[in-house]
Amino acid sequence: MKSPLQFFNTDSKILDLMKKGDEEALVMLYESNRRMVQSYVARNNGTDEDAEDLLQEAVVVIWERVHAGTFEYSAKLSTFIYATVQNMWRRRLARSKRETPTEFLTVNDPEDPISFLDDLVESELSKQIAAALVKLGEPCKTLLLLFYWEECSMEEIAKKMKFANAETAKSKKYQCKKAMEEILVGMGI
Amino acid sequence: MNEQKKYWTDNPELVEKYILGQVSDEERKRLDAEIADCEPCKAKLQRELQLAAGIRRHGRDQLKSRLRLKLRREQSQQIFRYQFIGLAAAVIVIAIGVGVYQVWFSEMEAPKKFNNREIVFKQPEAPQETSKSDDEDKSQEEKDAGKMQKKSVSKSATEKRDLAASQGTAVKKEDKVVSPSRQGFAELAESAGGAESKLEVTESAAPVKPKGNIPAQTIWLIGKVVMIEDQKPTTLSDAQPKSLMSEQSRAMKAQRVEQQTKKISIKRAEGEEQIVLQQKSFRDLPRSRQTQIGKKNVVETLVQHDANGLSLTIFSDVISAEEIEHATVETAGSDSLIIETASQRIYYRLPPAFQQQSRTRR
Repeated sequence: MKSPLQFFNTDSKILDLMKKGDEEALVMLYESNRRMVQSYVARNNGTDEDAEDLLQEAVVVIWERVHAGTFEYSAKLSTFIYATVQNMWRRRLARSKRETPTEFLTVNDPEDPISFLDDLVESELSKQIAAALVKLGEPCKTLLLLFYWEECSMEEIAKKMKFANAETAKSKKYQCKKAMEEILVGMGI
Repeated sequence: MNEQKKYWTDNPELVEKYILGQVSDEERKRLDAEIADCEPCKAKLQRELQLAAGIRRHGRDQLKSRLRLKLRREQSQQIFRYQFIGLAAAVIVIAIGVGVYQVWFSEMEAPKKFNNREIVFKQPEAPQETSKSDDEDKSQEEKDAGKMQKKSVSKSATEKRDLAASQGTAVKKEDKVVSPSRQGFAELAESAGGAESKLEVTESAAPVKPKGNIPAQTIWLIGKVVMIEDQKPTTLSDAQPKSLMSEQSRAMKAQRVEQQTKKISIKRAEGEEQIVLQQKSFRDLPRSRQTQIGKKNVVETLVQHDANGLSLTIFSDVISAEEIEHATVETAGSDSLIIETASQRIYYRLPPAFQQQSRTRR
């Protein structure tokens, strides 16, 4: 019989690993929620590939928030995953103008864990911008990822990228952003 | 110009905080309301948001690809684990199978003692000697056996081959006590077999279930008959004129009662085991064993083993009671027997299963 606190122990273990930057935590979180997500997506006209992609996305969202220090453990990780997947799937369906499954009408959505930025990430434009980032090259790519994705402060960026100080990092970020804008203009974006 | 500077979207740090969700809900609402009527501000903010979303997407894609790689590795490791477990299970099942096989069939393996011992049989002593006491018999037999063994050891392989080569013409009685090796036996049988170069002495190796009055520890062997001293094979199946055959059959029939009762006991050199030679008509054969009728140079033999020793019952109408009385038994290797009468030699190979039974009986 499972201990009532087992989920807490598992969740705290996963969160600890995530804080340490151990990506095995992603695998653990993925495997422990795979069946649940597959079952949900299958019930709502999705395929196994949809389920895999949504679950990976939800797992990554948790990773991002843990690293940004914005993750609040108010419910089980599986509950967070379920809510994230549910909202992402609903948005995808709306975007592709698919018929909304009846389940969405009856489910009382918890607080939407998807931010407007997360929603934009799903857009086609962000895909093109991601491609432009590859063209930008190093060290600008890493610097912008640290700032916009990992949400590191200028002090942290300076430390990680071995800049003299936060001001240098800030100045470098400005230059990189300018270069990125030029590439995007060049790509017609 | 001054009017434009009033909007917070001109403050890059505030824009970044807004984009990254580092402002409170109340602050966000206030900022949103502030640019509600400023379309360029909204466009600028949207552009910043798209840039941040694109960069974030790149980061997520990289992390997701690493996750997929880890998941694939995990799956392949799981498959390997399943394969390993399957393989281990198969090995265990095979090991158990081998163990069970050994437990069930070890009873039927050849006894080491029997196989390793060079058993020499000798002809029974003269009738007057049988009146002596058992102790005297034993001592006498041991002495004889010792002599015989010495004799057999002194026989060289060349002599055996020479003996085999001379099978077609004549066999001397004095040369009977030989203990040829397995190879020697095969050579002997091969050379003596004439047209049938390959000798297959036994065909029925598995112990048969006792039927009727046939006791347990019983098997049927098929002996290979080789004629000596110009004798023709005289099984009823031989190509003979029908009239002659029927005449012979009648004569044999008359003799049969006598043959059934005749038997000869041959004690082994060690004096512990006894071989009893018995002869019966092939008509006494059980129906299931009558498949060999009509085949040349073979003789069905019932081999029994009990506390008294080995008993060989030859089902043949061509061996007379007199011949049985003067027959000798030799061993060849560890698992073969040769019965020699005046007119023929019969070769047997004892199956290991039966030897094991003999051992367990002891």
